[in-house]
Amino acid sequence: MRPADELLYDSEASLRLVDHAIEELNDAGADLDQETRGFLEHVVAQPGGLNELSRTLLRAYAETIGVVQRIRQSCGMLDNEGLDRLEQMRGRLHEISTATETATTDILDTVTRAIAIVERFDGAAEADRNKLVTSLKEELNGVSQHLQFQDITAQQLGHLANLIADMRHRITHVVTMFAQPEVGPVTAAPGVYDPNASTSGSAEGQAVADEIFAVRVSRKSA
Amino acid sequence: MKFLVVDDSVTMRRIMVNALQRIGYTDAVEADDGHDALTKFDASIGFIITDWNMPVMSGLEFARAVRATPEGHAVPILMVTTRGAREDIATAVEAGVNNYILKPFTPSVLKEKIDRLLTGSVAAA
Repeated sequence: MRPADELLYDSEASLRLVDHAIEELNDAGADLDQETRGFLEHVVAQPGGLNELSRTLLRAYAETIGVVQRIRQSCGMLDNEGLDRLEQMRGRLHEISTATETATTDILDTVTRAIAIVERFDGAAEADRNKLVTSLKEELNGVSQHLQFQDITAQQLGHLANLIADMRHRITHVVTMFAQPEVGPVTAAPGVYDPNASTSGSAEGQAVADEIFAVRVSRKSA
Repeated sequence: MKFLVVDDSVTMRRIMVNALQRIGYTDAVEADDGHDALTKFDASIGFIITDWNMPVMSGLEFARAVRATPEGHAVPILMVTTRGAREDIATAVEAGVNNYILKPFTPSVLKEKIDRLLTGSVAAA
């Protein structure tokens, strides 16, 4: 497809050529014989004749400019920002898939270790049994940490739903430039999610939080 | 000690209430957003654990609303959230939150934060 600027330039050049040709025809009229001049005057003056050609071409040109501008707008709607949204959506889906898989395998590993502890329990001496019970508690406590992926992935899905609503809005806007859309109004998902929610990196964030609250405590104590 | 556990995720509320029971706190009231929590908050509540991102009323708005009441002036508020940005944590401090836990957390971290808030004075924590 040719660039819009090039098309516009060529359209304007064509219009100038047509105008020039009509002027030349008028100038040449004086040198023609009566019959030929009468024929040409008829061709120029009749409805739909050369006199109207210039106006018709100008209308077509104006409509072409409108179409080209709408194409430009639609390209603008789907340009880098739209591609960035798609990339974010892809990244979110990957994160959700990874978080789900990690939580599942972590829980599976925990259950496997818990079963192994229970199997050792029967043959264990009394002193070792207390250690085994402590180990079992620690393992089971870990499960509750792994299960928090549900809350985090729910927020990631909320963000994804919002990105999809945004893309739908952009596409609907592009469609309305050319035709009446058959889709209803776009409603974005309620903003009750954290767009940066992640199952990883909480240790670093917790260290920052602890630092901020430690400073606060020391200021209060001073 | 009566706890008010506020989170729009049923899973998270269950995890927190179960963790509280394991460390000896069996009296807990649950709410699924800040507005619901405000209707359940009264002088009998001795400790609040709240999420940040919730529909209707966020945990941040809820913390501010609690601090504006006479009975909520000194109650410990522990925020448990995914929001780990420094400016978010600072905003929570300004709203009257006493301590902060990043999700996902371990029950031992929850216990440590609760113990710290209950053994020290809330104002200092």
